[in-house]
Amino acid sequence: MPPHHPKHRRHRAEHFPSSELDRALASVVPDPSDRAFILRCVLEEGPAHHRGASFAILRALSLAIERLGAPSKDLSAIPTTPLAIRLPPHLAQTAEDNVYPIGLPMRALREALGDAELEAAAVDALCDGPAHHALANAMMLWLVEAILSRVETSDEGPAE
Amino acid sequence: MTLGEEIASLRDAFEQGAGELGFADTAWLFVERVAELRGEPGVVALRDLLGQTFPTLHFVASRYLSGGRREPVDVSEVAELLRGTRRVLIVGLEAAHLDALVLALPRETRIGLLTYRLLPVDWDRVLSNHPGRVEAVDLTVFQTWAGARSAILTFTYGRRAERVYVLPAFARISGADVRTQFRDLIGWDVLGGVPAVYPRWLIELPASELTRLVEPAHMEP
Repeated sequence: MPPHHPKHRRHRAEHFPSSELDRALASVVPDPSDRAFILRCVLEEGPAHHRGASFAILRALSLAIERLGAPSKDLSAIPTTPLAIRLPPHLAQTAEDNVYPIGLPMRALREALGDAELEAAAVDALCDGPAHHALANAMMLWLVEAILSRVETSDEGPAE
Repeated sequence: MTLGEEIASLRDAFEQGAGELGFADTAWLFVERVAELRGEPGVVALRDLLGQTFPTLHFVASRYLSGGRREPVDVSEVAELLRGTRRVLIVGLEAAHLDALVLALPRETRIGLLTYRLLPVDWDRVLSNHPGRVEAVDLTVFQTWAGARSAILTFTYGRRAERVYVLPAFARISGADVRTQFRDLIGWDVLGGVPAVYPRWLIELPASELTRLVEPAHMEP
């Protein structure tokens, strides 16, 4: 999260503690302001049941990462599908900087689905819908990638 | 012409000023000038005769009469919040605050001004104060300014508990869709309190509609 200035009032209810999720996201989204934007969209926007469900699953995934403990491999080489900011279609093409600062990671998805047609349908479903839904999906998949990476590191054993 | 008639005749001028300079900025301008030319009785007349129509004027005149004076615009907190932002869309108009912001932001940060206002405004005249620096942004295309490095900045006029007073223009553009299209929706309080009279020209919104609210050090309850 960006440094909190005591004079700035942050009003939208922060029902869900976001520090663990912010930490879990840091290796994928290095800029704290970008992480704050993503976490606001996931945890503070959209219907309450979505915010609650997303928080619960994301927190459980970040807990799994903490428990695994092993260092993650560099995730930056994983191919991603960009997540477009939802804009009216006739304005989207003239807007600059119109993707979210997180994309949908494709490595685990490809391995899990193993079929191009199925993969395309899954990407469509994961990216579609309101922003809080698509961003939560992307976060969940990144945490899955981080878990898999740690499992792989752990399986490989200590470097000689 | 009596003092009352003289003050009442300022109504149209105040309205035009409020349109093109902002409610708070114009209120201070009128209060200071009337105080200089007609003394405290002039400010009392300004508050009592025009204050009901222009609540920010009522607030500023009341503050002046109780010893308050205009404070220099402190842009530091807002500039800090906007660090790294590529585009800032300003909603509402307060000339002194806009001037300070334009000076504080780096040249590479684009500044847009939403050209929607309830009062009549000669936008060319307003924009000519910042040639090549502040761009006009029409309500129908303001989302072309959206982005992960974009922010909306609106002026606020006091807060009561968890509700803030804003210009109706902000309500026109701050729906659930827009909240996830801009990184931040920042409120910048330009008044420091809520007018005692009914705040016509303004609307009350939950403060949670803003992601950040910057207030002066001294806020009247």
